[in-house]
Amino acid sequence: MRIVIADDSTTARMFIRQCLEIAGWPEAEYAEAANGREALQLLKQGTTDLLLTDLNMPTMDGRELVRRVTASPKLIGMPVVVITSSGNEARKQELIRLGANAVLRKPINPMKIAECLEGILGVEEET
Amino acid sequence: MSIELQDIRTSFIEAITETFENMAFMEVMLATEEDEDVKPEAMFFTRIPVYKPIQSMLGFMLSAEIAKSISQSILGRDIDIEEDEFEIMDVLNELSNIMAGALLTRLLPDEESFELGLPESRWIAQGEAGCDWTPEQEYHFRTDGQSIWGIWKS
Repeated sequence: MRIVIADDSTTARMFIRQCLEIAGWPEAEYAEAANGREALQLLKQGTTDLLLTDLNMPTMDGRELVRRVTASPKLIGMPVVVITSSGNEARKQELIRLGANAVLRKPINPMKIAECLEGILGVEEET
Repeated sequence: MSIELQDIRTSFIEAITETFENMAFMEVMLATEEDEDVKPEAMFFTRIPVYKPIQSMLGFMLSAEIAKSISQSILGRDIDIEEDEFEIMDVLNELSNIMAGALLTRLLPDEESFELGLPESRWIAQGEAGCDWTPEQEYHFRTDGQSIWGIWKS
């Protein structure tokens, strides 16, 4: 399973990855991007099973990344989860309309991420 | 729209305690009158702009010692203040980002979205923060016998 994590904060990327590992995806292949543009480049390199992205990033923000991902025939069907501090109901609805599968509000924890991904991926975690 | 100062105070306290507890496993409480409110000679200053619905700025100031212990807690390794300055600032930036979201989520109705800018941190000598930005409101918190100052300007 390949998971791309996009966030301009190295702390946030590390924290998300740790949550995923604790939540049941320790064996996944992780690729990290500091903005939407880098994430798109990673998504072009091989098959990705899941994209987790921040919203507020320089160069290309999460909103634009979600728009481009959901408009790409190559990436169609790939689950996209937005993890943001700006995750109120209005923003959540906007992102879901754009094509995100789920929106999680920071701070996240392993339980929150596990519940979200089990619903989206439709499977129990790997371990 | 207007937000009452009392609402900001209450939400600010909740947001900062939630953020530090969830991210760094630290119990942060509002300081009492008995707690000494003296800023160190130099400290980390972190702020994040809010663009919508009200242009404002919020953040916090803390000593190198507490920045180090927060970073160690979050990154799970030993931190050297000088060698790991970039990592410390990245941790503080992320904390301010989360704190801002927690604060605005509390202050605004669900149907109203907000927009944050990119956070920034720097190491300042006492009083230097006032060069380009003087906080309107300052809230004094304590954790592990040390101070954190939450700051806000609308």
